[in-house]
Amino acid sequence: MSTKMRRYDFIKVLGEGQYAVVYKAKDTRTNDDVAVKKIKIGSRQEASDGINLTALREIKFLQEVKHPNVIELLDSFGEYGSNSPSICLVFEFMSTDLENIINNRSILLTTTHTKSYMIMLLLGLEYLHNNWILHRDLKPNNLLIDKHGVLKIADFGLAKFFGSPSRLMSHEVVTRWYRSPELLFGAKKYGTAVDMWAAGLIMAELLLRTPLLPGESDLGQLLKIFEVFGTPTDSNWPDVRAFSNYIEYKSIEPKPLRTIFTTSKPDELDVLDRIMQLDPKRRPNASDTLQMEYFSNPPAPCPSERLPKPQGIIQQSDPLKRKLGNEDKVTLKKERP
Amino acid sequence: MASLSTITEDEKNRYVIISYMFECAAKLRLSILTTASAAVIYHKCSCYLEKSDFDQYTLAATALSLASKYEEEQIKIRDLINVTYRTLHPNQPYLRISQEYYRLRNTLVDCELFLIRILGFHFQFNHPNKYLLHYVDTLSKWMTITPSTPIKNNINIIDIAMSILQDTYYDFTLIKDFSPQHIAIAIIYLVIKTYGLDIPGVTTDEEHINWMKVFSSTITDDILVKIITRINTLYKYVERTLEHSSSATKSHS
Repeated sequence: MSTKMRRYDFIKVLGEGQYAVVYKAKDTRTNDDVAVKKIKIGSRQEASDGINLTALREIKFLQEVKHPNVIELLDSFGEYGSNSPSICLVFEFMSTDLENIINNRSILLTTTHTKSYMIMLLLGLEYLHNNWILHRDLKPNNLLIDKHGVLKIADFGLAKFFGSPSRLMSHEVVTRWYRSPELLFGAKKYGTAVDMWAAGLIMAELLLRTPLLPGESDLGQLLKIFEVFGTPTDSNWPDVRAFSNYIEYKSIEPKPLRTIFTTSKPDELDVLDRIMQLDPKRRPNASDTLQMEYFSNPPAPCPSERLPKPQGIIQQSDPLKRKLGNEDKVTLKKERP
Repeated sequence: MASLSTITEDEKNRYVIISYMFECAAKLRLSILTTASAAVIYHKCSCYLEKSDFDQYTLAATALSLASKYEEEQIKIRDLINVTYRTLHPNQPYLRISQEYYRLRNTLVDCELFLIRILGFHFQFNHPNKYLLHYVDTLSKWMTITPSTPIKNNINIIDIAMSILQDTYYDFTLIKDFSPQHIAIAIIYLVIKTYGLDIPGVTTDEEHINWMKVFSSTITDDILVKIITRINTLYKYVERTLEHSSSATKSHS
């Protein structure tokens, strides 16, 4: 056991992902709770290509960023020489994630809460984009909430630097429900608009308490998008036909957003209207979005420490309940269909 | 700091390995940035392992593998092993899928983790490339203002400067002791002097520092002289070392 390993007291397993196990641990030096993500490279299959690219990406990006709304990598160390070599990433311990908040029926989310979450998300996103980082996997499950209620963007396993004009990127990124139309059409060059689209859908999910566009396949996802926002036309997305995977859909008229978000005020719908534009070039960036009236209009955003917290954080006695509850999913990569 | 105009035995050995890495990288069609990152990884790790008898060629291959992952320019591990093996043993038959192949692959995988730990999980390198491109771009825009400028083709200048820059990766001193901005400026200066190019408003040698200060306020004549001395030393010895080493291997086999 390496000396670094001894610094952390492993308490329990929080969850197991595709390539990592997440433990809750105590940092014996500072006495803080931490989450340790242990990346397996021991087994034969993982070892065949050497160190996992996702893990490398995560370290690469997290070492560069420091922002109150982006998860902080506290430490990283390797275990070498044992029969299963591994890399461990140490993060601050987060009590829950936005998906849990949204799905917890005992929590009432009002405009002031939604506004507060969106501001924290957009501030984190603005910071990442200003540093030329695309997250490419934004979803409520990857937005963690710490014990003070502060939202932090996590899981940089798909992140990428952008801005190089010649570099082609994969369009198979972002969990399907949050994937933007240009990605679904097979765009190889894209930018911050893919993260903005996901951010818009997260806002919609905060308002509806259920995913707005739960598509079951890539084509089905496009259909879901068009059923709400209408099929692309020459006027709202001029160069749509240029995409490699472009498919013509039967023309659908856009649905007015106020029929979906019946309780929302016009300034709130305005934000969604702006972000959820089919043409990525027309979507505003995070900074512009934050300047919109909605974020300065009353009611003022709820201070983070007063945001609703699920019950599970305070009492976590029943192990079975906890399994379905909050913290098991912390930093765990869950594959959605 | 060791003398800038001489090189040590250790540095000679590094020249041989870097030349090997560049050859492998070219065969694998890696971009210059990935190659540069691999060279930096190699230099840093080799410096750390100075006193050990760690195999330098394994180190070089692992550095290439890590850099390709880090710079997101994926290569297949099989290709990497084949290329590094064939380049090292040009007279041996091709490597088949065999015990030997699996042995090499396992070594590479173990070594990757080892190197990451030597680097302390830090592999963000600030290469001079982007500075060089921006400086040349800015400078050449300014130079074309006067109709009599000798620059006919900016592309050539960038190509030459980039080649010099890529060669600086042979030398660890240049990487670790100087800032990337200063390296970029020194290389541009070298190209300007070598090709006798004119910078508007610069009539004497002393005035060159003026345009340099615009790009980097911390550059001084002293730093400039040091970098150029080192680049000259590098060119003087690299070829000699490589010739010597290749004739040595030939006499061995």
